[in-house]
Amino acid sequence: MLDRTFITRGGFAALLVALAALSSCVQKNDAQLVIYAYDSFASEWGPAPLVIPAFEKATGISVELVVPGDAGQVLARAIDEKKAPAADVLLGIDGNLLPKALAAGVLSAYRPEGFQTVPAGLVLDPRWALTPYDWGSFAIMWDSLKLANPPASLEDLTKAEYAKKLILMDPRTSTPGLGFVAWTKAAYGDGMADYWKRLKPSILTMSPGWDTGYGLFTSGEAPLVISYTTSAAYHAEYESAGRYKALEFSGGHPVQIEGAGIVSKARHRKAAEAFIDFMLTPEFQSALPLTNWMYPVIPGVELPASYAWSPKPAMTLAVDATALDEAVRAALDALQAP
Amino acid sequence: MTSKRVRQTFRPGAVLLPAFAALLLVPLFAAFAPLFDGGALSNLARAFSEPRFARSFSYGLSQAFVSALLAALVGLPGAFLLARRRFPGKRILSALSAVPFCVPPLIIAIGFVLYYGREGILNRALMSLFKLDEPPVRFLYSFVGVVMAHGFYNFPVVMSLVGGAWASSPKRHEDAARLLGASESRVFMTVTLPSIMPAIGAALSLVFLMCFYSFIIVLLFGGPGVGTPEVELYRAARFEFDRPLASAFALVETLVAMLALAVYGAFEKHAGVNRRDAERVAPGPFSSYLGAGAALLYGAFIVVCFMGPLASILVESLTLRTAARGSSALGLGNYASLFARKGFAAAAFNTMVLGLSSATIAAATGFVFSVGLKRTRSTLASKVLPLLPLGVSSVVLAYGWNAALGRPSVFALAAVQAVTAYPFVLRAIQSSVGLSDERYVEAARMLGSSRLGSTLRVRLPMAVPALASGFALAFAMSAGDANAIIAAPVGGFETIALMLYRLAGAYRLNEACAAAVVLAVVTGFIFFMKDVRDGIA
Repeated sequence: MLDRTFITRGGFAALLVALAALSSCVQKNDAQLVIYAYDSFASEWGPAPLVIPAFEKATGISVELVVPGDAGQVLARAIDEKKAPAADVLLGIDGNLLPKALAAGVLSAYRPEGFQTVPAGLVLDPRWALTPYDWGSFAIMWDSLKLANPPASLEDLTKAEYAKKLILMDPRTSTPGLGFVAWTKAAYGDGMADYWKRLKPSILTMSPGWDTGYGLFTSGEAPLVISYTTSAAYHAEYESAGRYKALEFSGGHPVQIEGAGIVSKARHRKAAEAFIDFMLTPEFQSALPLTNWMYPVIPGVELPASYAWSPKPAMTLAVDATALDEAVRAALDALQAP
Repeated sequence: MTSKRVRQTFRPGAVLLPAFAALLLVPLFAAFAPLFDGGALSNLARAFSEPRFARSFSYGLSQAFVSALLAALVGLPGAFLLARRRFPGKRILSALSAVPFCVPPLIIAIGFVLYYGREGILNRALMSLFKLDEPPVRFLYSFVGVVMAHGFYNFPVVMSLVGGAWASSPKRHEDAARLLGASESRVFMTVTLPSIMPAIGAALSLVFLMCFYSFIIVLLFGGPGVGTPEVELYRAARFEFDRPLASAFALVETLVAMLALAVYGAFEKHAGVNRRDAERVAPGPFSSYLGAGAALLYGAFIVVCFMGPLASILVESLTLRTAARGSSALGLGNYASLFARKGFAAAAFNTMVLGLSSATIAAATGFVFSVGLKRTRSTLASKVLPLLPLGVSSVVLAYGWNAALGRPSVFALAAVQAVTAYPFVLRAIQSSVGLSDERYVEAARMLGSSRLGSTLRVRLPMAVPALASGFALAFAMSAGDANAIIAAPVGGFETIALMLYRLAGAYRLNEACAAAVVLAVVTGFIFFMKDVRDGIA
């Protein structure tokens, strides 16, 4: 009955090993600062591996970086834990999420050292519940190898020559997707539903996330895609410049500003303040362009050479974030109407 | 004949089954709890009054229904071939049943784009072959595209489920009908078809469920703005922070899935009865050139339509795009940089740990339940209850655990994956435990072995091949799953499947494809082992 002993013991051994390994994954928490950040910030090619050790070295404060998912999940988790917050800092709340964060009351205001260096146009909240740390401009990326005449405005996108040539992202599931809806809302106001009706024939697909949509674009499925102006800088940095260009539209571009804020009733308030201060130092800011692919918020930070390919739009559009849910509804209704 | 004996003090079922029910019900109730925030009825009324509610359900149901029909159409010839014919390449055809369970949908979506897309392999080949200016294959971004992707992705489910039933359909009855002068088509319609019908129904409802919960493929190919209940749930929870509304969507979605499940259970009940007293028929060679030719055509169709997208993932993983995009080269560079990543070893280790844990939980409960099922009389409830997890989306479960525990944990992930894999594991184990000879157990009991002892010493060793296959299936499903981890990420805990999603989200599509190939090699190898395959078929 060698079989039997082998099976029973083997089975129990496998179970024990698995459980032991599982419990080793549960870490003890003795950090002096807990930061909730979104996944791409914390990933190995994001800013975290550079800026978190730098902060720990400069201040002697040990940091625990928690990744609840994307920025929406960061906020959702903070709202869930509102009564007994585990986080001290929420990182990655952008202008679109700000009204929801304020309404939920999860943030507590703090005006950091060096706040004067942040240009007025980038200040997310006059009370500084959120401190901006980087920003980017949404833009249509153009594959110059596949399309001879690029569009020059949102209105151009509706022309028959661009039928099935545009890849968007779903505003229900993706930030650039939401950004594009905000763009049309800012440009067309109440006429946006009508614009989306006219735009529909140009849309090849609305992908669930930026990753799939941009993947379709680089595989040549369509020559136009919604992304950030800095995508052009990415291609220049790691591949070759010139084929993929960010288009500058005549009516202006909306910006996405990302910020971080201190959690109400944070357990490590002083350390959290030190981190918010640190975000506006050149050391933190200069890490962002090549890791987060966003622009720094303080002036005087030298940009990598590849950023010459990322056009800074002459005109930025202000978008009312509180009206966004309604705008998404209007766009989807226009698309789904028979 | 089971004799009524004094009850033993310890019965594993008494502990494991409630434990497993807790693994399913605790997160489920936690996920639905916000529904009562401000009155369940008013929240449900609010959900029903939203136009997107009806829209998403009608789209979700119709695409799932048509997708299941297509999967059946493509899968049935394969089922026949697996059950009744001997031919080279059979192992490969049979190993395809791993694909719907173990290949992440993101990879299927990318594979379809790389293959059927406007710039895909198929269109480029056709354009250069027939000197065309426009890509001839243009179905991808439409309802047809969704249905094609789902149908091809899931046809192996139909193939293996129906193939199993077909292999054990009563050959003697067919021969008797032939002897009485019935034509081949009459034999098929009156004898064979009725005996495999339950399996077809079960497979159809299973594929229907899998397509109903599909997310990426629907959004990507469905045309701008379409939505399924899962998409609207995500939007309500994630962008509108409207938990009560999200719970209302989740509840109705789960109820609809339960309906499909009841249909599945009803079919499955008959399928089980048929299998019990079956003799397995040895597959034979092709009887005519016509049959062999048709099989060859079918094989070519599968290779071109189904293996093509998978192969394009392999090609993409070998394509180097670091230089100028116009001139790409082939090489192993993507694999080199993937393996050299700092987190790769840890991700591989985590994938193993998570897979082992969820597979252990799923296989242990699967075994206990299948032994228990053998003792009870087969009723709809005892057939449907263990299949309940099929009707629950892993995203809902993961949200539920988060709400219940207050923080994400690796235990919860293992629990979610075990629950998701469990119905399939149970199936694999049941086919062996259900058929095992009770006489040995009886003999052991007569010789004084306790109930637990006879189960451990007799049933368990006899079920080893089936347990191994169930375990391997659960492991493979866990390795390929990223949904649960994306919905409830645990700090510092990355798996290869999650890494794949992140690579795709960081301008590294080729490396993501390399990660997919690594996953496919590991899980595909498991499925290539004979025991595993037999257990599932």
